[in-house]
Amino acid sequence: MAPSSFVDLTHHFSPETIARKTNPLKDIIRISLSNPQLISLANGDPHHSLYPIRRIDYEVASVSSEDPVADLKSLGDAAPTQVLSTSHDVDSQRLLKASLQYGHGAGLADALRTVDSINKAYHDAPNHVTTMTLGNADGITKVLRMLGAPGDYFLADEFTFSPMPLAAEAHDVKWVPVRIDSGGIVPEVLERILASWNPERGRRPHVLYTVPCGQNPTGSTLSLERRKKIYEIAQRYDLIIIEDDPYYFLQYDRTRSEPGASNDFARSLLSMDTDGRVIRIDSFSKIMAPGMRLGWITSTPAFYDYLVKYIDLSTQNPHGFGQILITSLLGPSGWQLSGFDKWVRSLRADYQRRRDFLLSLFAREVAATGLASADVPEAGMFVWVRVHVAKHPRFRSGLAARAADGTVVRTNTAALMAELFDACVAGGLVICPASVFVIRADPAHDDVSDPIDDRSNFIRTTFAGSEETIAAGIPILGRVLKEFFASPAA
Amino acid sequence: MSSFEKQQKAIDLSHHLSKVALARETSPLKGLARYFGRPGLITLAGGTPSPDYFPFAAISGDALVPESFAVSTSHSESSLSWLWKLFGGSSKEKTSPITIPKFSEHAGDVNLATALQYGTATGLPQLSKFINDFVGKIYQPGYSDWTTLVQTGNTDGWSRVVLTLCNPGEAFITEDWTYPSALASSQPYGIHPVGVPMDSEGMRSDALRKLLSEWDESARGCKRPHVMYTIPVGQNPTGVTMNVPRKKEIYDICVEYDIIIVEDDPYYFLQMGSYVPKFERASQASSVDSAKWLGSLSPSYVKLDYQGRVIRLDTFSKTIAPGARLGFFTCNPRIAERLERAGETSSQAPCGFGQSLIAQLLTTWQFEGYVRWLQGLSVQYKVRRDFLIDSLAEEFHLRMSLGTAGSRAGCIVYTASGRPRRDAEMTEKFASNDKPYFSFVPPSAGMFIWLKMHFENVQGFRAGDEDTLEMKLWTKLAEAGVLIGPGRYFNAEDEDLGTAEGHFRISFSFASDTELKKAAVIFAKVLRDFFENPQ
Repeated sequence: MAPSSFVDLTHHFSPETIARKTNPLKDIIRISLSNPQLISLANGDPHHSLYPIRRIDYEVASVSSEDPVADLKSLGDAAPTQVLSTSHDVDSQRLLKASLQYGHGAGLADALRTVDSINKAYHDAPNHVTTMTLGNADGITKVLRMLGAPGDYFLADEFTFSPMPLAAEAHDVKWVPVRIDSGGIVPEVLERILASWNPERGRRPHVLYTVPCGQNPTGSTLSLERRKKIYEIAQRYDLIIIEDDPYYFLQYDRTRSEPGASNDFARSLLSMDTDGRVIRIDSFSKIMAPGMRLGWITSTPAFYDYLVKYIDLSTQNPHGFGQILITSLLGPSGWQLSGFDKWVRSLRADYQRRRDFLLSLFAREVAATGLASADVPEAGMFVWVRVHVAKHPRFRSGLAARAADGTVVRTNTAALMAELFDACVAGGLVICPASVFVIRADPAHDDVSDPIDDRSNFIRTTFAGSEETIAAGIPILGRVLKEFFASPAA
Repeated sequence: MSSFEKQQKAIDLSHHLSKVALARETSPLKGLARYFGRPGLITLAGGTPSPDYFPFAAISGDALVPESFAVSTSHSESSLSWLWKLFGGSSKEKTSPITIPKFSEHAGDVNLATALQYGTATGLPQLSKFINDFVGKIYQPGYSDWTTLVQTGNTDGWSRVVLTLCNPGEAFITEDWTYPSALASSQPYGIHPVGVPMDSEGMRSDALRKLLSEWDESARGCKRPHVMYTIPVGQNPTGVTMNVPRKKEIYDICVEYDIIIVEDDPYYFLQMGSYVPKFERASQASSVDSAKWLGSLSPSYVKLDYQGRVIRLDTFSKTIAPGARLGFFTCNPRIAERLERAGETSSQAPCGFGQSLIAQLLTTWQFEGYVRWLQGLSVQYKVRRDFLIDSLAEEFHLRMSLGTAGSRAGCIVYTASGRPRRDAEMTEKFASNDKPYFSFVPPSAGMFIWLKMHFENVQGFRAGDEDTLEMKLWTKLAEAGVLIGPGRYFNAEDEDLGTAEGHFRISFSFASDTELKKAAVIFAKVLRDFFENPQ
């Protein structure tokens, strides 16, 4: 293991992070956990004999066959399962008790070992450490609060999953959009924003939030080359990178040929992080079930300490039920890491089949109209459909209209796309219009020569649902497009 | 409020919302949510995985039956049943199985396909329904449009509330001694506590009025507080419980001064009555039915709340298990909506495993069963409290007296001084040292005994040494193998330790009886040494 060469990045902390003290009661928990001989009369933990839950069995899918997800799909209720029980032996008794008690903010040691083993198998970050979260929304909010001082500017993909940035805005963090293309963030654009930053506007952005695989909503995946460039820019401009990677395991058409890769998943930004400036956020939501509300953050020990302080004073230790599950699932009588790997590969193969199913229908029903097109997403759950809005009879260009945010738009793309959304709903289909994902630029400072409203001629469709839904929905899209482009009446 | 009076809706209290709370926008994606699930609409919009791919077929478990713990302490078998269970393992326990299938057979049943899907921050419908019903029956809010909302435990609850109501630089009112995590979670935002003196019922209403009426904005450096954080039952750390007349007085003051009351009430069902010394105890035991027991509990502030200015925090941590990380707010709909916004971008809905297991447990037990469970729990805590005080009585010389002054006026106070070693007692005449080491008022609810240390009786004591003595003694106890809570952790305004008293908080919720006994022995040994031969 290489010795850590992390640089000191504590100047990125927000004032609230610096002001936050350790929860004193959690200090006592730490002391008592470190010495099992101590009798602790310090904390208000109910004795485990007073918990009504005496046994929990999780009946989970079996991973004994080569393609467990295909089994689950074809056999349904009859698919083979295995039971993970937490009451039949002494060791699991301990797990049940420990996980139903108050605990350490970072999570149960057993559960942390589980996510560490996942990290070790898929990333190259031996000196980073992990803490559990209640899923990515929780993880991201906590990281944003750790880093964001009121008045700060953060960078994000110009189309992004908006609830996360919005949460930071309530705390007076402002966002600067970074232009993306079908390959994700354009490194040159990122660098230009930083190099030309006017200090009178405020502190230069010191945080970049990005989804590197199967970006939500555009479906783009950063190439290894772009990742390297982005990391190098982060080093030069002292950026912290928040690598939000819920679709990591849903990478398609992968081969093991990528140089430097130890497996056939793209090399994470975390794996390049020699400085300690990447904070990676993972989740079980997409590979197990979203309602589990469990994930983990991987960071340097310096960031970890502050995250745990914050967790101890807010959501506290993660729920025991999820921690029991992942501990026993990856434990010796569960799937183990090899079974987990089989599951995620089987799951991604199924997603890939559904992606291809959507794309083949799309080619026939939508692209054939010549009114829309789509790139093949390399990861994730989304197909970002470009609507050839310029072909619409009422499309206007050469305008100089002022949009609500003050930018000067040249086309009526936004209005036509809003009409298209209504037409889809009227036709029986709900899709996500690009407009709900837009991070707005500030026309007083940012480059708005090509305003985003003129480039919002996209809709997000998903193959996360069933084949039936896809088979029903895509033809509606084709039909609605044809009607919409044919009838000029408003 | 009597039942035939027509309840009013909550008044508009939205001027209490903080800048952060007002700035929270509804995600534009939520605007799309109204189309989801509409019959006849196909959605390719949301990134929700199909439940077909959840690798869970079912979750099942064994849960104790609601009658597992006796409701009376009258005969020794039931009062000590928890001890037997501890050593006898689970063979004597009566459990019933609960199962949550992936897909439910009957519409409306709890199932994993729903519980493990992305949900709104309002939680699983079956659980919300149970909670609503429970709150209506047990706490009986005094206005008509109250609502409930799940959260991930009261620490999360309070940390969301404080940011929803307070702006940086503001102060909030609390008891002089209180739960340190509540203080520490607001402190990074420059939101600081102002303590109100306490007596045998907790916060003093006269002191509260004095504080508010004499509030000097320029001297205090901030405007008069508009938020109160209070633990009215089994107060943490002091163990005191507030009765209705006092709650009414404080509520009226809060109406007058326009204050939002945040009622953190995790120990509500651990109300256990007063401590009766061991030798008198046999005669007092009697069994009460559940309705009578519920009626004996001190009513919640929400019952008095005719305006909707109380935010009540409940948690399953003390009644089911802390690791469930599940609780709920009861408050007016406007504040609930803002709390939901704060939740949906952070912790989102509480864990689906926990929500479905607890929903299934509660709907299996039903309302009456859960009340029966809670009543049994309260007796278990009573037994634990009595056991700890009995153990202290064996190791110390305990004297009972009536408190006459200050915060203990009118209370039964127990004062502990050194007792000669048992072997010494047998062989020589040994007058017990009558200089008290500590004193306490037995708690009538909760999990803690709050000791006031009489450090003035430490050999060679100098006034002002109390704080250092508290930490010195704490360290000696920890070295000897007993961990307790240092009092200074619980001081609301830690720059103002004017009283210069030492305190410790001892919890009787967790340790086994052997441990409690052993701890009392160690405690006695270390204290005797500390008071008689200090370094």
